[in-house]
Amino acid sequence: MPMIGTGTELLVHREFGYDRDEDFLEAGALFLGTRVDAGETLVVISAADRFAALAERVPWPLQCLDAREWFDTPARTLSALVGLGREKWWPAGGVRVLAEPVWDGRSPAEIREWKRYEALINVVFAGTPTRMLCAYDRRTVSSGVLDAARRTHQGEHYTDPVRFSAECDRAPLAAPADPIASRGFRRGDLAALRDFTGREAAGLGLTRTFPLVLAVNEVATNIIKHGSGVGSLWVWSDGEQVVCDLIDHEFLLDDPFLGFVPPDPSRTGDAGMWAVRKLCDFVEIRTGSTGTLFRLRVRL
Amino acid sequence: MTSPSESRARSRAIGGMKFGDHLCLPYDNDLERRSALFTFVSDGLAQGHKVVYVSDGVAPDAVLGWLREEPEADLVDFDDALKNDHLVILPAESAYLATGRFDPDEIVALFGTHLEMALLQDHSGLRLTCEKTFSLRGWPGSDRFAEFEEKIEQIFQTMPVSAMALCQYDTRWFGRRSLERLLAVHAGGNARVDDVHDDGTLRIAPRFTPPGLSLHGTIEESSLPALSGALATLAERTDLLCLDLSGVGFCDMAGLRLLLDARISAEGRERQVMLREVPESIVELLRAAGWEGLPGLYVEEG
Repeated sequence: MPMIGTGTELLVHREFGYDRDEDFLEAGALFLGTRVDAGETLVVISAADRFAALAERVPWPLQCLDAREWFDTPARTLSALVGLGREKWWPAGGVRVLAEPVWDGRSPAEIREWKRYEALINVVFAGTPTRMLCAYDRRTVSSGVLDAARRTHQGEHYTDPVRFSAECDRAPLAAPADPIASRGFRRGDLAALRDFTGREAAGLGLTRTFPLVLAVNEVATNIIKHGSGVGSLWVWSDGEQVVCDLIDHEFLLDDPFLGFVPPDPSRTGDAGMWAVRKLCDFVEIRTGSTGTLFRLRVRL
Repeated sequence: MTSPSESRARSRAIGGMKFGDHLCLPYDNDLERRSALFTFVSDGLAQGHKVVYVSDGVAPDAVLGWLREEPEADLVDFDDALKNDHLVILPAESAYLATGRFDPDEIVALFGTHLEMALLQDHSGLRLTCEKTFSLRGWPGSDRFAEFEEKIEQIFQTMPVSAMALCQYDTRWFGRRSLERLLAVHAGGNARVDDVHDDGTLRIAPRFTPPGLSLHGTIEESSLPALSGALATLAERTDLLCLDLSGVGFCDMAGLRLLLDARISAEGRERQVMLREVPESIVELLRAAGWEGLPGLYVEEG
């Protein structure tokens, strides 16, 4: 597994639950206040109404990010963290992040992907000078989320991210909803497939179809070039999102973190699935004895 | 002047010129002009035409000098062509001002003589190209220059001549209105440098200032071999490569990666790659892939 850090630094990624706002502030301030290196950047990612109270309790400047905007999609959040880390935080001496992810208003499938995101932090930021403390409000967050948090953060119940991610994949995907527009594709069909995707997605009410078209093209290209060479595409909507299912009935994937590990910014390595995950809002991949399904979701 | 994309509608590749064509080549840099003229001259010699080149302000030897420096010059035997009268390079003074003044009728007659001579010499026809800067010099009679172009055009339109003419206009020398008027005389339109590739999906044309490629159409899996080949032909020529993407409707990840990897030449030298007039869709792709900050890459959004 390629790592983005030097390997000489140790990632810290812990969680804590709280029942009173005062407890959140106290634990958060303690974590941020134990800054060991003057070059370390202090970052708070939480609801905006927490910023002032934390700033009062910590004697150093805080970089405050609104959690509602920050936790947009797992892939974009990972990418933004990696970008800031590489450009600003790590070269200056590391970063200490107090984060409170957003759980309300998310569908079960989205919550599953955000749980996986917490497990991915352990993989993507391994070896970087990052100390991250994640807060969970026990009054509002479900027990399933709290259980997962104990397994995706360092501590007694820490679970290997590969295993945790595989468990996420065991949850069945939602059945496609009618009407479903489908077509097969093989070499030579990409232009027609792009037209089809754009037309169907627009028909389902998507106004900005280009990122989805691009993502579908990329996955289809991979199926043609590296997979079985033949695939099918289903386009449908669950009312909230336009969904594109790309299916290769023979090809099996063996990369548990496909498209989640950031490419080297100084080279044009294989960034295909990394880009696909950012172009879409959610990407679910299932691979098994009947082939591989890539489900690309874009919010309406 | 119209923009390159507008003028393309009525422009023709030099390599596709036929007898009866009277086209103009507007240019604003010598690299482009030389590439175009080299194609015109070498195609003519290869096809058994007589080639008459009327130079202006530079000695015939200088014209021959730069023709010999074009990338594929070693495929053409210029010495043989000159010795056997297949290629004639004339200074404008002797071509146009034999009588001491610029007389359209005389010059048309002179070109008629060149054509007859060419046919007598067993050439299948005549290729004529003239540098058109002399008309600005205030030589006696040069105010009748537009009239001369009209006469030539009339001959090409009314008679089945075994000749073609390519009029070179250095656009930096002409006022916009007089240039438009002169270009408009050429009903056949403008000539342009030959495309490097055109398969109906992707068209690749050379560009010159700065050097690079203009891409038009779709860049996807099927277009990668052609694109890769075109980039390779530019390989060692320049340290700054300009790729004009204004005409690209779609570009996939692998295509974009190929363009960006031109930052390293085939021989391993590092180059700057400038992406010019990049459509929003490609900017989005660059960002999604995390490639916008690659060393040696400059992105100019369209």
